[in-house]
Amino acid sequence: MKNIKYYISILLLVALAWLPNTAQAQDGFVVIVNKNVDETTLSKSSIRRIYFGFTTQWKNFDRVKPSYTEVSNAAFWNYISTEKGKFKSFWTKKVFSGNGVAPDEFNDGQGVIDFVSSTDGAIGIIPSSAQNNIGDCKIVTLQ
Amino acid sequence: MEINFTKQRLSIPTIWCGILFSIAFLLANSTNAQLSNKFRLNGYSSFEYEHLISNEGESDPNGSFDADLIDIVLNVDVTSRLRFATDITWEHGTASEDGRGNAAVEYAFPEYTVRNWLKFRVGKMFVPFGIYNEIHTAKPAFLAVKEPLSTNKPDKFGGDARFYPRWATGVSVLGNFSLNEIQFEYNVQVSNGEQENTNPFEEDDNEEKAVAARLLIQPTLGLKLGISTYSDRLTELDGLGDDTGERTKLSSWSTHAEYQYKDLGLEFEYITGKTDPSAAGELKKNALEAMLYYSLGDKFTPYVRYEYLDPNQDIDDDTANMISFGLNTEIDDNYFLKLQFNRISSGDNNNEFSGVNFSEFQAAVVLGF
Repeated sequence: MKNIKYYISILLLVALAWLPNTAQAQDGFVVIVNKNVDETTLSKSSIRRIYFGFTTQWKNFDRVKPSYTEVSNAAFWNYISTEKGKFKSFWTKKVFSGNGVAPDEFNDGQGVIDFVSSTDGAIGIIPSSAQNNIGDCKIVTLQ
Repeated sequence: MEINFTKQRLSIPTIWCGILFSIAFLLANSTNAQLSNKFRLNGYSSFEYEHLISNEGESDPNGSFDADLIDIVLNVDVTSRLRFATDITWEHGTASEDGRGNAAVEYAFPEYTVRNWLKFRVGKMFVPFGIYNEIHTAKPAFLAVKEPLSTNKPDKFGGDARFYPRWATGVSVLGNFSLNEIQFEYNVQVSNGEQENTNPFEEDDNEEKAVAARLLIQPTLGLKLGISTYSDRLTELDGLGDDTGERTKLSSWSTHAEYQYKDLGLEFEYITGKTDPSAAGELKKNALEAMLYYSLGDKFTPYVRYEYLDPNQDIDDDTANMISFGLNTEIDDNYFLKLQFNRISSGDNNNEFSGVNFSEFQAAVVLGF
Protein backbone atom coordinates (compact mmCIF):
# COMPACT_ATOMS: atom_id res chain seq x y z
CA MET A 1 0.00 0.00 0.00
CA LYS A 2 2.81 2.33 0.93
CA ASN A 3 4.51 1.54 -2.38
CA ILE A 4 1.33 2.22 -4.35
CA LYS A 5 1.00 5.69 -2.76
CA TYR A 6 4.65 6.34 -3.53
CA TYR A 7 4.25 5.41 -7.22
CA ILE A 8 1.03 7.39 -7.56
CA SER A 9 2.74 10.44 -6.08
CA ILE A 10 5.63 10.07 -8.52
CA LEU A 11 3.22 9.65 -11.43
CA LEU A 12 1.26 12.74 -10.39
CA LEU A 13 4.41 14.83 -10.14
CA VAL A 14 5.56 13.69 -13.57
CA ALA A 15 2.12 14.36 -15.03
CA LEU A 16 2.05 17.86 -13.54
CA ALA A 17 5.50 18.62 -14.92
CA TRP A 18 4.44 17.54 -18.42
CA LEU A 19 1.00 19.16 -18.45
CA PRO A 20 0.88 21.60 -21.36
CA ASN A 21 0.48 25.18 -20.15
CA THR A 22 -2.72 25.77 -22.04
CA ALA A 23 -3.55 28.94 -20.16
CA GLN A 24 -0.35 30.67 -21.24
CA ALA A 25 0.29 29.30 -24.72
CA GLN A 26 -2.40 29.58 -27.36
CA ASP A 27 -2.08 27.78 -30.68
CA GLY A 28 1.67 28.16 -30.90
CA PHE A 29 2.24 31.62 -29.51
CA VAL A 30 2.76 33.21 -26.13
CA VAL A 31 1.95 36.73 -24.95
CA ILE A 32 4.65 38.46 -22.93
CA VAL A 33 4.74 41.86 -21.24
CA ASN A 34 7.35 44.14 -19.75
CA LYS A 35 8.10 43.41 -16.10
CA ASN A 36 6.51 46.72 -15.04
CA VAL A 37 3.11 45.86 -16.51
CA ASP A 38 0.70 44.91 -13.70
CA GLU A 39 -1.71 42.86 -15.83
CA THR A 40 -1.14 39.12 -15.53
CA THR A 41 -4.29 37.94 -17.33
CA LEU A 42 -5.81 39.18 -20.60
CA SER A 43 -8.89 38.11 -22.51
CA LYS A 44 -9.04 37.54 -26.25
CA SER A 45 -10.99 40.76 -26.73
CA SER A 46 -8.43 42.67 -24.62
CA ILE A 47 -5.63 41.40 -26.85
CA ARG A 48 -7.61 42.35 -29.91
CA ARG A 49 -8.32 45.85 -28.58
CA ILE A 50 -4.62 46.32 -27.83
CA TYR A 51 -3.41 45.18 -31.26
CA PHE A 52 -6.02 47.29 -33.04
CA GLY A 53 -5.00 50.36 -31.08
CA PHE A 54 -8.20 50.86 -29.07
CA THR A 55 -6.58 50.17 -25.72
CA THR A 56 -3.59 52.47 -25.37
CA GLN A 57 -3.19 52.48 -21.58
CA TRP A 58 -2.46 49.85 -18.96
CA LYS A 59 -4.02 50.02 -15.51
CA ASN A 60 -0.91 51.82 -14.24
CA PHE A 61 -1.38 54.37 -17.09
CA ASP A 62 1.78 53.30 -18.93
CA ARG A 63 1.31 53.52 -22.68
CA VAL A 64 0.64 50.13 -24.27
CA LYS A 65 3.36 49.34 -26.84
CA PRO A 66 2.34 46.25 -28.83
CA SER A 67 4.78 44.18 -30.88
CA TYR A 68 4.78 40.89 -32.78
CA THR A 69 6.90 38.74 -35.02
CA GLU A 70 6.25 37.33 -38.46
CA VAL A 71 7.02 33.84 -37.13
CA SER A 72 3.94 33.73 -34.93
CA ASN A 73 1.64 35.47 -37.38
CA ALA A 74 -0.65 32.73 -38.68
CA ALA A 75 -1.73 31.56 -35.24
CA PHE A 76 -1.93 35.09 -33.95
CA TRP A 77 -4.09 36.43 -36.80
CA ASN A 78 -6.48 33.55 -36.18
CA TYR A 79 -6.58 34.36 -32.50
CA ILE A 80 -7.53 38.01 -33.04
CA SER A 81 -9.85 37.07 -35.92
CA THR A 82 -8.11 38.91 -38.73
CA GLU A 83 -5.60 38.42 -41.55
CA LYS A 84 -2.27 40.07 -42.11
CA GLY A 85 -3.48 42.05 -45.14
CA LYS A 86 -6.49 43.43 -43.28
CA PHE A 87 -4.36 44.17 -40.22
CA LYS A 88 -1.88 46.14 -42.35
CA SER A 89 -4.63 47.99 -44.17
CA PHE A 90 -6.29 48.91 -40.88
CA TRP A 91 -3.05 50.35 -39.49
CA THR A 92 -2.19 52.21 -42.71
CA LYS A 93 -5.40 54.20 -42.28
CA LYS A 94 -4.94 54.66 -38.56
CA VAL A 95 -1.33 55.87 -38.72
CA PHE A 96 -1.70 58.22 -41.68
CA SER A 97 -4.84 59.81 -40.26
CA GLY A 98 -2.97 60.63 -37.05
CA ASN A 99 -5.01 58.21 -34.97
CA GLY A 100 -2.29 55.98 -33.59
CA VAL A 101 1.08 54.28 -33.78
CA ALA A 102 1.25 50.83 -35.36
CA PRO A 103 2.58 47.81 -33.42
CA ASP A 104 6.27 47.09 -33.90
CA GLU A 105 7.04 44.11 -36.12
CA PHE A 106 10.25 42.13 -35.59
CA ASN A 107 11.95 39.44 -37.66
CA ASP A 108 11.94 36.85 -34.88
CA GLY A 109 10.86 36.14 -31.33
CA GLN A 110 14.14 37.35 -29.88
CA GLY A 111 13.57 40.78 -31.40
CA VAL A 112 10.18 40.93 -29.66
CA ILE A 113 11.69 39.75 -26.36
CA ASP A 114 14.44 42.39 -26.52
CA PHE A 115 11.87 45.10 -27.29
CA VAL A 116 9.44 44.05 -24.55
CA SER A 117 12.24 43.66 -22.04
CA SER A 118 13.62 47.17 -22.66
CA THR A 119 10.38 49.11 -23.18
CA ASP A 120 7.99 50.23 -20.46
CA GLY A 121 4.42 49.19 -21.27
CA ALA A 122 5.48 46.79 -24.03
CA ILE A 123 3.55 43.65 -24.91
CA GLY A 124 4.69 41.08 -27.44
CA ILE A 125 3.63 37.97 -29.30
CA ILE A 126 6.32 35.30 -29.56
CA PRO A 127 6.36 31.70 -30.79
CA SER A 128 5.79 29.17 -28.01
CA SER A 129 9.23 27.74 -28.73
CA ALA A 130 10.81 31.01 -27.54
CA GLN A 131 9.07 31.13 -24.16
CA ASN A 132 11.94 29.57 -22.22
CA ASN A 133 14.24 32.45 -23.02
CA ILE A 134 12.21 35.56 -22.19
CA GLY A 135 14.63 37.14 -19.71
CA ASP A 136 12.81 39.40 -17.26
CA CYS A 137 9.60 39.59 -19.31
CA LYS A 138 6.42 38.12 -17.88
CA ILE A 139 4.13 35.63 -19.58
CA VAL A 140 0.49 36.68 -19.60
CA THR A 141 -2.22 34.13 -18.93
CA LEU A 142 -4.87 34.13 -21.65
CA GLN A 143 -8.49 33.79 -20.59
CA MET B 1 34.47 84.30 -43.38
CA GLU B 2 30.88 85.42 -42.84
CA ILE B 3 28.02 83.19 -43.75
CA ASN B 4 24.82 84.98 -44.57
CA PHE B 5 21.60 82.99 -44.48
CA THR B 6 18.66 84.86 -45.94
CA LYS B 7 15.04 84.24 -44.97
CA GLN B 8 14.27 83.13 -48.49
CA ARG B 9 16.80 80.33 -48.34
CA LEU B 10 15.61 79.04 -44.96
CA SER B 11 12.09 78.26 -46.09
CA ILE B 12 9.63 76.35 -43.91
CA PRO B 13 9.94 73.12 -45.93
CA THR B 14 13.71 73.33 -45.61
CA ILE B 15 13.51 73.78 -41.85
CA TRP B 16 11.09 70.88 -41.54
CA CYS B 17 13.37 68.72 -43.68
CA GLY B 18 16.23 69.57 -41.35
CA ILE B 19 14.24 68.71 -38.23
CA LEU B 20 12.92 65.44 -39.63
CA PHE B 21 16.27 64.25 -40.96
CA SER B 22 17.88 65.17 -37.65
CA ILE B 23 15.32 63.01 -35.85
CA ALA B 24 15.90 60.18 -38.33
CA PHE B 25 19.66 60.48 -37.77
CA LEU B 26 19.23 60.44 -34.01
CA LEU B 27 16.97 57.39 -34.23
CA ALA B 28 19.38 55.55 -36.49
CA ASN B 29 22.27 56.23 -34.17
CA SER B 30 20.46 55.96 -30.89
CA THR B 31 21.82 53.38 -28.49
CA ASN B 32 19.03 54.11 -26.04
CA ALA B 33 16.11 51.83 -26.87
CA GLN B 34 13.68 53.77 -24.68
CA LEU B 35 14.51 56.99 -26.56
CA SER B 36 14.13 55.52 -30.03
CA ASN B 37 10.87 53.84 -28.99
CA LYS B 38 9.43 57.29 -28.29
CA PHE B 39 9.70 58.41 -31.94
CA ARG B 40 8.06 56.90 -34.99
CA LEU B 41 8.64 58.15 -38.51
CA ASN B 42 6.22 57.10 -41.27
CA GLY B 43 5.17 58.60 -44.55
CA TYR B 44 3.76 58.14 -48.00
CA SER B 45 4.14 59.37 -51.54
CA SER B 46 1.97 59.43 -54.62
CA PHE B 47 2.76 59.79 -58.32
CA GLU B 48 -0.21 60.15 -60.65
CA TYR B 49 -1.15 60.22 -64.31
CA GLU B 50 -4.41 61.39 -65.87
CA HIS B 51 -5.56 61.42 -69.50
CA LEU B 52 -8.83 62.42 -71.14
CA ILE B 53 -9.97 59.63 -73.44
CA SER B 54 -12.96 61.39 -75.00
CA ASN B 55 -12.73 64.28 -77.47
CA GLU B 56 -13.92 66.79 -74.90
CA GLY B 57 -14.48 66.94 -71.15
CA GLU B 58 -13.11 68.35 -67.91
CA SER B 59 -10.02 66.18 -67.75
CA ASP B 60 -6.40 66.38 -68.89
CA PRO B 61 -6.16 66.18 -72.70
CA ASN B 62 -2.34 66.15 -72.63
CA GLY B 63 -1.92 63.15 -70.34
CA SER B 64 0.15 64.67 -67.53
CA PHE B 65 2.37 63.19 -64.86
CA ASP B 66 1.90 64.62 -61.38
CA ALA B 67 4.40 64.38 -58.54
CA ASP B 68 1.31 64.47 -56.38
CA LEU B 69 2.71 64.46 -52.87
CA ILE B 70 5.18 63.28 -50.31
CA ASP B 71 4.13 63.31 -46.68
CA ILE B 72 6.15 62.70 -43.56
CA VAL B 73 4.21 61.48 -40.52
CA LEU B 74 5.87 61.84 -37.15
CA ASN B 75 4.61 60.47 -33.82
CA VAL B 76 6.30 61.26 -30.54
CA ASP B 77 5.31 59.61 -27.27
CA VAL B 78 6.20 62.56 -25.06
CA THR B 79 4.98 60.84 -21.89
CA SER B 80 2.89 57.75 -21.23
CA ARG B 81 -0.25 59.91 -21.52
CA LEU B 82 0.88 62.42 -24.13
CA ARG B 83 1.40 61.77 -27.85
CA PHE B 84 2.31 64.36 -30.46
CA ALA B 85 1.34 63.66 -34.07
CA THR B 86 2.04 65.64 -37.21
CA ASP B 87 1.86 65.19 -40.99
CA ILE B 88 3.88 67.55 -43.18
CA THR B 89 3.18 67.50 -46.90
CA TRP B 90 4.98 68.67 -50.02
CA GLU B 91 2.60 68.60 -52.97
CA HIS B 92 3.17 68.74 -56.73
CA GLY B 93 6.96 68.88 -56.62
CA THR B 94 7.17 71.83 -54.26
CA ALA B 95 9.72 74.41 -55.39
CA SER B 96 9.05 77.50 -53.29
CA GLU B 97 11.62 79.65 -55.11
CA ASP B 98 9.53 79.30 -58.26
CA GLY B 99 6.19 79.47 -56.48
CA ARG B 100 5.39 75.92 -57.56
CA GLY B 101 3.54 73.29 -55.58
CA ASN B 102 2.50 73.54 -51.99
CA ALA B 103 3.94 72.77 -48.56
CA ALA B 104 1.52 72.43 -45.67
CA VAL B 105 0.86 71.06 -42.23
CA GLU B 106 -1.94 68.52 -42.67
CA TYR B 107 -2.26 68.12 -38.93
CA ALA B 108 -0.22 68.84 -35.83
CA PHE B 109 -1.63 68.18 -32.39
CA PRO B 110 -0.75 66.82 -28.97
CA GLU B 111 -3.16 64.13 -27.77
CA TYR B 112 -3.60 63.74 -24.03
CA THR B 113 -5.09 60.45 -22.83
CA VAL B 114 -7.08 60.50 -19.60
CA ARG B 115 -8.57 57.10 -20.29
CA ASN B 116 -9.07 55.14 -23.49
CA TRP B 117 -12.56 56.62 -23.59
CA LEU B 118 -11.43 60.20 -22.96
CA LYS B 119 -8.69 61.92 -24.95
CA PHE B 120 -8.10 65.55 -25.84
CA ARG B 121 -6.45 67.07 -28.90
CA VAL B 122 -5.65 70.70 -29.57
CA GLY B 123 -4.21 72.08 -32.79
CA LYS B 124 -4.76 71.74 -36.50
CA MET B 125 -6.61 68.53 -37.34
CA PHE B 126 -8.58 66.83 -40.06
CA VAL B 127 -12.31 67.31 -39.62
CA PRO B 128 -13.65 63.90 -38.46
CA PHE B 129 -16.31 63.34 -41.11
CA GLY B 130 -17.28 60.24 -43.07
CA ILE B 131 -14.95 57.57 -44.42
CA TYR B 132 -12.41 59.55 -46.35
CA ASN B 133 -11.62 62.99 -44.97
CA GLU B 134 -9.02 61.85 -42.46
CA ILE B 135 -7.22 59.75 -45.10
CA HIS B 136 -7.86 61.85 -48.21
CA THR B 137 -4.16 62.62 -48.73
CA ALA B 138 -2.97 59.14 -47.73
CA LYS B 139 -3.26 57.38 -51.06
CA PRO B 140 -1.90 54.01 -49.79
CA ALA B 141 -4.83 53.94 -47.35
CA PHE B 142 -7.52 53.45 -50.01
CA LEU B 143 -7.96 51.47 -53.20
CA ALA B 144 -8.92 54.06 -55.82
CA VAL B 145 -6.63 56.69 -57.37
CA LYS B 146 -8.43 59.53 -55.63
CA GLU B 147 -11.01 59.92 -52.89
CA PRO B 148 -14.62 60.23 -54.15
CA LEU B 149 -15.27 63.68 -55.61
CA SER B 150 -19.01 63.64 -54.97
CA THR B 151 -18.71 63.39 -51.18
CA ASN B 152 -15.29 64.96 -50.66
CA LYS B 153 -14.81 67.54 -53.41
CA PRO B 154 -18.33 68.41 -54.61
CA ASP B 155 -17.03 71.83 -55.74
CA LYS B 156 -15.13 69.92 -58.46
CA PHE B 157 -18.22 67.89 -59.33
CA GLY B 158 -20.61 70.74 -60.04
CA GLY B 159 -21.38 71.86 -56.49
CA ASP B 160 -20.96 75.39 -55.17
CA ALA B 161 -19.19 74.45 -51.95
CA ARG B 162 -18.07 71.50 -49.89
CA PHE B 163 -20.16 69.78 -47.25
CA TYR B 164 -17.44 70.45 -44.67
CA PRO B 165 -13.88 71.81 -44.67
CA ARG B 166 -10.89 69.49 -44.83
CA TRP B 167 -9.07 70.88 -41.81
CA ALA B 168 -9.91 72.77 -38.64
CA THR B 169 -8.04 74.37 -35.77
CA GLY B 170 -9.56 73.87 -32.37
CA VAL B 171 -10.17 71.29 -29.67
CA SER B 172 -11.25 67.67 -30.02
CA VAL B 173 -12.63 65.29 -27.42
CA LEU B 174 -12.49 61.68 -28.52
CA GLY B 175 -12.24 58.14 -27.28
CA ASN B 176 -13.42 54.58 -27.64
CA PHE B 177 -15.12 51.94 -25.55
CA SER B 178 -16.85 48.62 -26.00
CA LEU B 179 -20.20 47.38 -24.74
CA ASN B 180 -21.09 43.71 -25.12
CA GLU B 181 -18.28 43.27 -27.68
CA ILE B 182 -19.62 46.18 -29.74
CA GLN B 183 -16.91 48.75 -30.38
CA PHE B 184 -17.74 52.47 -30.20
CA GLU B 185 -15.52 55.40 -31.23
CA TYR B 186 -16.48 59.04 -30.98
CA ASN B 187 -14.88 62.36 -31.86
CA VAL B 188 -16.34 65.80 -31.13
CA GLN B 189 -14.42 68.77 -32.51
CA VAL B 190 -14.98 72.48 -31.84
CA SER B 191 -13.07 74.80 -34.17
CA ASN B 192 -12.85 78.17 -35.89
CA GLY B 193 -14.42 76.59 -38.97
CA GLU B 194 -13.66 77.71 -42.51
CA GLN B 195 -13.45 81.26 -43.84
CA GLU B 196 -11.77 83.19 -46.61
CA ASN B 197 -11.06 86.63 -45.13
CA THR B 198 -8.73 85.47 -42.36
CA ASN B 199 -6.53 82.44 -41.76
CA PRO B 200 -8.91 80.02 -40.00
CA PHE B 201 -5.96 78.21 -38.43
CA GLU B 202 -4.95 81.42 -36.67
CA GLU B 203 -8.04 83.53 -36.09
CA ASP B 204 -11.82 83.13 -36.18
CA ASP B 205 -13.71 85.82 -38.11
CA ASN B 206 -16.85 85.45 -36.00
CA GLU B 207 -17.92 84.30 -32.54
CA GLU B 208 -19.78 81.22 -33.72
CA LYS B 209 -17.73 78.04 -33.56
CA ALA B 210 -17.92 75.15 -35.97
CA VAL B 211 -18.83 71.77 -34.50
CA ALA B 212 -18.01 68.42 -36.09
CA ALA B 213 -18.87 65.07 -34.58
CA ARG B 214 -18.59 61.47 -35.67
CA LEU B 215 -19.68 58.22 -34.07
CA LEU B 216 -18.35 54.89 -35.32
CA ILE B 217 -19.96 51.62 -34.28
CA GLN B 218 -18.50 48.20 -34.99
CA PRO B 219 -21.17 45.60 -34.12
CA THR B 220 -19.21 42.73 -35.70
CA LEU B 221 -15.60 42.36 -36.78
CA GLY B 222 -16.36 42.93 -40.46
CA LEU B 223 -18.93 45.70 -40.19
CA LYS B 224 -18.35 49.35 -39.32
CA LEU B 225 -21.15 51.93 -39.27
CA GLY B 226 -20.73 55.66 -38.91
CA ILE B 227 -22.66 58.90 -38.64
CA SER B 228 -21.10 62.35 -38.92
CA THR B 229 -22.26 65.92 -38.68
CA TYR B 230 -20.75 69.35 -39.31
CA SER B 231 -22.27 72.76 -38.64
CA ASP B 232 -20.98 76.32 -38.79
CA ARG B 233 -22.07 79.91 -39.26
CA LEU B 234 -20.19 81.55 -42.12
CA THR B 235 -19.54 85.28 -42.04
CA GLU B 236 -21.20 87.15 -44.92
CA LEU B 237 -18.97 89.88 -46.34
CA ASP B 238 -19.81 93.09 -48.15
CA GLY B 239 -18.16 94.28 -51.35
CA LEU B 240 -15.16 95.58 -49.42
CA GLY B 241 -14.65 92.29 -47.64
CA ASP B 242 -15.99 93.52 -44.30
CA ASP B 243 -18.31 91.57 -42.00
CA THR B 244 -21.97 92.48 -42.63
CA GLY B 245 -23.03 90.94 -39.35
CA GLU B 246 -25.15 88.41 -41.24
CA ARG B 247 -24.42 84.69 -41.24
CA THR B 248 -24.91 81.79 -43.63
CA LYS B 249 -25.83 78.59 -41.83
CA LEU B 250 -24.01 75.51 -43.02
CA SER B 251 -24.95 72.03 -41.86
CA SER B 252 -24.19 68.56 -43.17
CA TRP B 253 -25.02 65.01 -42.12
CA SER B 254 -23.50 61.79 -43.27
CA THR B 255 -24.05 58.11 -42.74
CA HIS B 256 -21.68 55.44 -43.91
CA ALA B 257 -21.04 51.71 -43.75
CA GLU B 258 -18.01 49.56 -44.42
CA TYR B 259 -18.38 45.80 -44.66
CA GLN B 260 -15.83 43.07 -45.25
CA TYR B 261 -16.60 39.38 -45.62
CA LYS B 262 -13.50 37.31 -46.38
CA ASP B 263 -12.13 38.81 -49.63
CA LEU B 264 -15.23 40.78 -50.49
CA GLY B 265 -15.67 44.38 -49.41
CA LEU B 266 -18.36 47.02 -49.62
CA GLU B 267 -18.50 50.64 -48.63
CA PHE B 268 -21.27 53.20 -48.82
CA GLU B 269 -21.58 56.82 -47.81
CA TYR B 270 -24.49 59.25 -48.12
CA ILE B 271 -24.27 62.94 -47.29
CA THR B 272 -26.97 65.54 -47.15
CA GLY B 273 -26.30 69.18 -46.49
CA LYS B 274 -27.73 72.65 -46.70
CA THR B 275 -26.53 76.23 -46.77
CA ASP B 276 -28.90 78.93 -45.63
CA PRO B 277 -27.78 82.47 -46.49
CA SER B 278 -29.48 85.36 -44.66
CA ALA B 279 -30.78 87.02 -47.82
CA ALA B 280 -31.50 84.07 -50.08
CA GLY B 281 -33.28 80.78 -50.04
CA GLU B 282 -31.99 77.61 -48.51
CA LEU B 283 -29.86 75.41 -50.79
CA LYS B 284 -30.11 71.67 -50.22
CA LYS B 285 -27.74 69.14 -51.73
CA ASN B 286 -26.89 65.49 -51.36
CA ALA B 287 -24.25 63.05 -52.52
CA LEU B 288 -23.46 59.39 -52.31
CA GLU B 289 -20.61 57.04 -52.99
CA ALA B 290 -20.64 53.24 -53.13
CA MET B 291 -17.83 50.81 -53.83
CA LEU B 292 -17.53 47.05 -54.24
CA TYR B 293 -14.16 45.29 -54.27
CA TYR B 294 -12.72 41.81 -54.16
CA SER B 295 -9.22 40.94 -53.01
CA LEU B 296 -7.39 38.24 -54.97
CA GLY B 297 -4.58 36.74 -52.93
CA ASP B 298 -3.86 40.01 -51.11
CA LYS B 299 -2.12 41.32 -54.26
CA PHE B 300 -4.79 42.25 -56.77
CA THR B 301 -7.95 44.07 -55.82
CA PRO B 302 -10.36 44.97 -58.61
CA TYR B 303 -13.03 47.48 -57.67
CA VAL B 304 -15.98 49.35 -59.03
CA ARG B 305 -17.15 52.65 -57.57
CA TYR B 306 -20.21 54.81 -58.20
CA GLU B 307 -20.53 58.48 -57.24
CA TYR B 308 -23.51 60.80 -57.46
CA LEU B 309 -24.06 64.45 -56.59
CA ASP B 310 -27.15 66.62 -56.69
CA PRO B 311 -25.66 70.08 -56.00
CA ASN B 312 -29.04 71.83 -55.67
CA GLN B 313 -32.26 69.94 -55.17
CA ASP B 314 -34.29 72.90 -56.51
CA ILE B 315 -32.56 72.90 -59.90
CA ASP B 316 -33.34 70.24 -62.47
CA ASP B 317 -30.74 68.54 -64.60
CA ASP B 318 -27.72 69.66 -62.57
CA THR B 319 -26.62 66.30 -61.21
CA ALA B 320 -23.35 64.54 -61.97
CA ASN B 321 -22.33 60.95 -61.59
CA MET B 322 -19.22 58.89 -62.16
CA ILE B 323 -18.64 55.19 -62.43
CA SER B 324 -15.09 53.91 -62.01
CA PHE B 325 -13.55 50.54 -62.77
CA GLY B 326 -10.13 49.99 -61.27
CA LEU B 327 -7.43 47.56 -60.30
CA ASN B 328 -5.22 48.04 -57.26
CA THR B 329 -2.05 45.92 -57.32
CA GLU B 330 0.33 45.65 -54.37
CA ILE B 331 3.68 45.33 -56.18
CA ASP B 332 5.74 45.19 -53.03
CA ASP B 333 5.09 45.75 -49.34
CA ASN B 334 2.90 48.90 -49.17
CA TYR B 335 3.86 49.83 -52.74
CA PHE B 336 0.82 49.98 -55.03
CA LEU B 337 0.00 50.45 -58.70
CA LYS B 338 -3.52 51.75 -59.34
CA LEU B 339 -5.17 51.73 -62.76
CA GLN B 340 -8.60 53.27 -63.14
CA PHE B 341 -11.12 54.09 -65.87
CA ASN B 342 -13.76 56.75 -65.12
CA ARG B 343 -16.95 57.57 -67.00
CA ILE B 344 -18.47 60.91 -66.00
CA SER B 345 -22.01 61.95 -66.91
CA SER B 346 -23.86 65.12 -66.00
CA GLY B 347 -26.93 67.22 -66.64
CA ASP B 348 -26.83 70.35 -68.79
CA ASN B 349 -27.14 72.59 -65.71
CA ASN B 350 -24.19 71.10 -63.90
CA ASN B 351 -21.69 73.89 -63.16
CA GLU B 352 -18.58 71.81 -63.73
CA PHE B 353 -19.36 69.51 -66.64
CA SER B 354 -22.32 71.25 -68.37
CA GLY B 355 -23.80 68.04 -69.68
CA VAL B 356 -20.62 66.93 -71.47
CA ASN B 357 -20.17 63.22 -70.86
CA PHE B 358 -16.63 61.94 -71.06
CA SER B 359 -14.18 59.21 -70.10
CA GLU B 360 -10.73 59.43 -68.55
CA PHE B 361 -7.89 57.15 -67.56
CA GLN B 362 -6.07 57.57 -64.26
CA ALA B 363 -3.07 55.77 -62.85
CA ALA B 364 -1.04 56.13 -59.69
CA VAL B 365 2.00 54.62 -58.05
CA VAL B 366 1.84 55.09 -54.29
CA LEU B 367 4.09 54.10 -51.45
CA GLY B 368 3.51 53.93 -47.72
CA PHE B 369 6.23 53.34 -45.17
